[in-house]
Amino acid sequence: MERTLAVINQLEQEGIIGRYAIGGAVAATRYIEPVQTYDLDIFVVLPVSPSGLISTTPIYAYLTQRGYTPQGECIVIEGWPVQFLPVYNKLTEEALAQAIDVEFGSMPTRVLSAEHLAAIMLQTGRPKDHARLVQFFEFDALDQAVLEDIVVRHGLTSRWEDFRRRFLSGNG
Amino acid sequence: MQPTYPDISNILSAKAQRRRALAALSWEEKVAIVEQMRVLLPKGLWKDRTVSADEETDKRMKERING
Repeated sequence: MERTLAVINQLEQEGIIGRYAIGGAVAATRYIEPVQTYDLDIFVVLPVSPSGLISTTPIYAYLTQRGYTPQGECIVIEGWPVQFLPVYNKLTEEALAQAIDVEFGSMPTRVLSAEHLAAIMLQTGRPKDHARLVQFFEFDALDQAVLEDIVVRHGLTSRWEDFRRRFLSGNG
Repeated sequence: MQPTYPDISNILSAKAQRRRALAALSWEEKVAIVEQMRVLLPKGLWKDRTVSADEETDKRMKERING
């Protein structure tokens, strides 16, 4: 994955993409036990065209010119299917803005915070998101006060209360 | 006569301990495990299974919502 991140860093340095951070299962794996996943989710700010549109076309053009191949909704970079996800609402925008600078091996990169990942899981709300969120509590990966602040600010209170009632009864 | 069942608490405890040990590994070590898991299951098959499972879940949720 280090080589994959090197290519993504290059995309950022050359202005093909804006700020990026790792999200999804690979980010979750930083905080809990290894999570089975197929692809690497990259949350990203995409440059806006003069007409006000955003597009992943420049990313694909840049990468395919360098021999990387699209596969479904991903593009395979140095062995990892990578999915570029433009920030799609206020929560993901904030999550990306507050992503943590880290190193993977010797490669600098960014990863979403555990609390923002948790809030995104609450918002998405699929069974697999709930299951993964339970693991965040199981492994004590969250600062609950920070999470609750995010939850309130992004209108997720009823989802949070529902989650607590269903999965964390007796856990505060 | 009441059936007797084995006590599996030791097995469950060992599993929990193993999960804690996995969670305590470095991010790089955990991603290496994820990469191994990807290798063990053929690419297309895994994605198709994931999609199918999600579609099935969505269908069941819709049925529940719609009664």
